[in-house]
Amino acid sequence: MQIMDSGAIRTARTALGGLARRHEAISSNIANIDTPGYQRRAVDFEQALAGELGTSGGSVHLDRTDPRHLLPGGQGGVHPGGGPTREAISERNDANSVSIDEEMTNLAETQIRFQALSQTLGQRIGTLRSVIRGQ
Amino acid sequence: MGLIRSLQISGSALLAQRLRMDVVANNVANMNTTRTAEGGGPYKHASVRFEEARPGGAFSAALGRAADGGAGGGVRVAAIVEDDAPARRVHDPQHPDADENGDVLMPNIDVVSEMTDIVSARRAYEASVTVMNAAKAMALRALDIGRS
Repeated sequence: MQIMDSGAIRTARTALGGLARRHEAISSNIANIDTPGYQRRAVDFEQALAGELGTSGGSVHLDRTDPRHLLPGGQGGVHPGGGPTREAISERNDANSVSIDEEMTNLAETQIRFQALSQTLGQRIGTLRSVIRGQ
Repeated sequence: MGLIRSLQISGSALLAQRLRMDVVANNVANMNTTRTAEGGGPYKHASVRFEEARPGGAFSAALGRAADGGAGGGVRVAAIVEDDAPARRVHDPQHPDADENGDVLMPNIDVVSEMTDIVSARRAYEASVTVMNAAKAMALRALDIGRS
């Protein structure tokens, strides 16, 4: 039986890694807010994560008979897909494509999601601990 | 580790913006300087040129590039560039540096543009401080995982 390597823990760990890399891209964007010609970077790992969760079913495979059914979350640890991607839209004279409002919004979102996820993971590990102690 | 890299990237931005602030302060301080040490002419307006910092040639840098697809290494000041715009000519016969027509060459500094530069540097600095605080909060929260 897998205790520490369950699907939920692996998925949360992967998502935390993805969020940390997204935060890295955001700090790079904000650091280069005044650099001429800089193209903003973005990290998209959700699609890869969702794809992994949907396709890898382990030994038991769940079929969806209705497209509105939720995807089963299970043995789905994945590597964050893709590196930081570049988008080439500039609305400034110096060909810099960073928008400070967008970056700050992304920053707040990333931070909150990271904290929510780490809290969930902490609770999960707390549950395991009480199981181990038999309390 | 992503969050530590974030701190370093934001730190490079703080350093670069502070250097920009120093250059602006030097411009404002020298807005009436008619003589420079290098020889004769009035002080020339200086400005910084930012460029995206690329991790160096070391093994760790190459490893980092391969591992993360190049999230960048922050920002750095590539050069401090002097502005070659012509000096302002002010008529002031009493000035010790006045020429035979009574004209003095004053630095090519526009105070309004310096002030907007200060605001811009300050806002960019604040934005990077915010990012840094976010990285710290996230890292501290991650340390709490598994703590009872």
